[in-house]
Amino acid sequence: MAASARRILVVEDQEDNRRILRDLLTSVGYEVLEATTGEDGVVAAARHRPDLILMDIQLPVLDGYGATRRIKAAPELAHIPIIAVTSYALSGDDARAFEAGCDGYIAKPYSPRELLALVRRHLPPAA
Amino acid sequence: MASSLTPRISLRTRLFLLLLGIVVTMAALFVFLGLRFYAREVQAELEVRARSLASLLAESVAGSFYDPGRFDRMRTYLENVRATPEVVYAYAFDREGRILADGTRENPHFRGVPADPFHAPAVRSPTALLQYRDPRFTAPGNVLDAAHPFFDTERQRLGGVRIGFTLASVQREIARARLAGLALGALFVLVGMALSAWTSARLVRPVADLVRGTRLVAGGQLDVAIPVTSRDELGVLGDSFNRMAAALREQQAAIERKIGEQRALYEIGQEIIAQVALQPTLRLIVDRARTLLDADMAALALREDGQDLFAMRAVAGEGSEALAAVRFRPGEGLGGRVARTGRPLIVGDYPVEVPDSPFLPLVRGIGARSHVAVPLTVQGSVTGVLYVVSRAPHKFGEVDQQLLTVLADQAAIAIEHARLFEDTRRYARELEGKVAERTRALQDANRQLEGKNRELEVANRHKSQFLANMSHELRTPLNAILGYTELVLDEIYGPVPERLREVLGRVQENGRHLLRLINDVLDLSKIEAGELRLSLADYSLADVVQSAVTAVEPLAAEKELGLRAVVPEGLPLGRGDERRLLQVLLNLVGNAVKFTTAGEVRVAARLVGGAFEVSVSDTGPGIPEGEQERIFEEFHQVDSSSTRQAGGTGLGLAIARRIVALHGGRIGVRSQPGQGSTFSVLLPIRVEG
Repeated sequence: MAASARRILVVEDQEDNRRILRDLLTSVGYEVLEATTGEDGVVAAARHRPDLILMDIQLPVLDGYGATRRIKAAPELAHIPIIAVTSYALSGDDARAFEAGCDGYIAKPYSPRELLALVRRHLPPAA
Repeated sequence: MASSLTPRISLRTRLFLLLLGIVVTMAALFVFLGLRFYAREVQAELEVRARSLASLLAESVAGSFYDPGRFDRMRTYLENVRATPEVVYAYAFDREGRILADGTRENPHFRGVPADPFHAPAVRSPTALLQYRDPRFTAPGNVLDAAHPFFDTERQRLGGVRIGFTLASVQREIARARLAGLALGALFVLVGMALSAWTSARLVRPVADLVRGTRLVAGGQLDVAIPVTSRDELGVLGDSFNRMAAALREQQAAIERKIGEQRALYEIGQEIIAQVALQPTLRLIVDRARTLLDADMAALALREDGQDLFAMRAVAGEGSEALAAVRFRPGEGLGGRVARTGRPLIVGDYPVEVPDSPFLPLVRGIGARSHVAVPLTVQGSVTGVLYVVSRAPHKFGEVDQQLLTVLADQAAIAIEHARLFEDTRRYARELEGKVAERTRALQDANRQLEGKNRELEVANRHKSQFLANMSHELRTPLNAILGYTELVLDEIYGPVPERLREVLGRVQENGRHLLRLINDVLDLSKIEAGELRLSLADYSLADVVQSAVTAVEPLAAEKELGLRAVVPEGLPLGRGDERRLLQVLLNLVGNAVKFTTAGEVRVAARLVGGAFEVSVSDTGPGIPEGEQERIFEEFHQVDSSSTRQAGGTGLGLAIARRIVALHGGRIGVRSQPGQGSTFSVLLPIRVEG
């Protein structure tokens, strides 16, 4: 797949998880922006207008649901697909994620390949 | 009833009618006979007159028979006779019956002799006196015909005379007499009637009084006295009646008194028996005994528990307080005698009749004279003595003693009951006390237990929370390890030599196992802590079965096992937590594939009586019967070594059982070692929150 230079915002407080996503996504040609808190995530989304956001749910201060709601509440950002990344899958997490406005959902532990497939589904190659 | 006894015609009426009948008959008879006699008299008188007139006339006619102007003289005589008002005709005739002279020529009513049918007999027997109805007279009434011969001096019959007297005046007189007689008779009847009425009334009145009296008595009214006015049989009867009524009154009064006593006794008995406490019962007994026998005082002595000694327990009446302290042994005084013999005693005058009593000064002190004392007997032994006392001598009799005996019998029963009741109540109180004590102890224990339970609950919640937190904290670095490993294996960081790849594969496998363990522990702790909520939604069972089968297909293929899903068409849409149900089915199918080395795994779904049944059968080693329950417990597997070998956590079935239970279903297993196993899940089709 050719590098599309598409930008993905990763909102994740865990250094290792950020790095794994960065390594994975840049290896296939995405440009990766990073934020470590929900607040930062919302700010970064507004400033950089990424093509997709991978939103960790368990974040300090403002959690992923809250951040998602804030982004989706802004008309100029509402179109950006957000994939929720939950720490562990329990019944109700997916529902809450979709309720908050997420467009996709993946539970940890995910295999990098699985995640990549989900990202590609929400981010078709630019025309 | 009384009306049916009313006579149709009263005695008085009948008597009146009888008397009246007699009077009327007598009157009629008198009038009839009187009139008849009178009529005869009148007629006889007329006949005498007629004969004498005829005889006189005959003599006159005979005197003038040889005179030259005899016919004129005869006629004069005849006319004189004829002038008499009653005479309707008068004439003389010769021996041959020829008319010599006739004094009746002018009589407008007389139209001659020739047709006279009696002329011939009169001539033949000239003394005849005949009465006949002469058709020649238009005037009413019969005619009395008197004929008389006349003779010459030689007593030779020369002829005769005939004089006709009218009977009209006689008949008129008789009619007048009849009228007078009838009037007299009527008067007689009237007077008789009045007399009859008076007599009958007078005769019948005592009888009517008797009737009235007996009616009243029959109706229950006994205070009747009928007036007795005569000394005849009716008077005697009335007197007897009055005496009978009086006797009845006395009897009834006696009966009523008796009933009154019985009722009073009964009521007292009821009242006494209604009492349950001993002392009020005793007080009531003496009170009622005193009023029942109209006595001045009453007292009740009872045998002291287990002693041969009686003590007053209750007294009633003015002055009776002095008796309250009395105690006696059998034989001592009046009560002692009754207690010894068990028989009631009546004393008419205590100081006289019981002079040896040790209680004599006391008895004198309260002025007691008459006594009745009766025993209270329970099962043949005297348990007490009931007294009534009067200050008047010889007041009490047999009846009083009987009444008091009945009362004493009831009292004995009531006292026994009251004692039993008090015993029972004391016992009940003791029991209650014990029960209350036990209850308090139990409540204390319960409180302690509750406290402990609360502490345990809190501890349990802390434990679950700790486990949840722990799992999360464990998983975060594990996720990083697994993530990096996969990136390395995907050669994101560059080519990986074969040896390293193999080792990294082991790292990945162990990491995944560790993750599964952590996930399962987390699930269990969530469920235990009650934090697992089902996310209910509609689902297709066929899809769930298919997903589970698809997930294990690669492994089954690798082990060369048959894998079959049997799901009928047209199963209804289920409602439940699809992801959790899939987790359960994945576990069962995964286990089946894992533990089976040869043969096949079969997943079947069907409807069983309004529920889904999903069964997973394998041809694996089977599970011994003793293990079949325990495999659903945490960390239990038939063979611990097989767990690691098959990559299970030992928690899957425990979680599955809990998830199915949360859905209101059941999970079970049928298996025989060497014959494979069949796990069945019975699930309500639609689970509503």
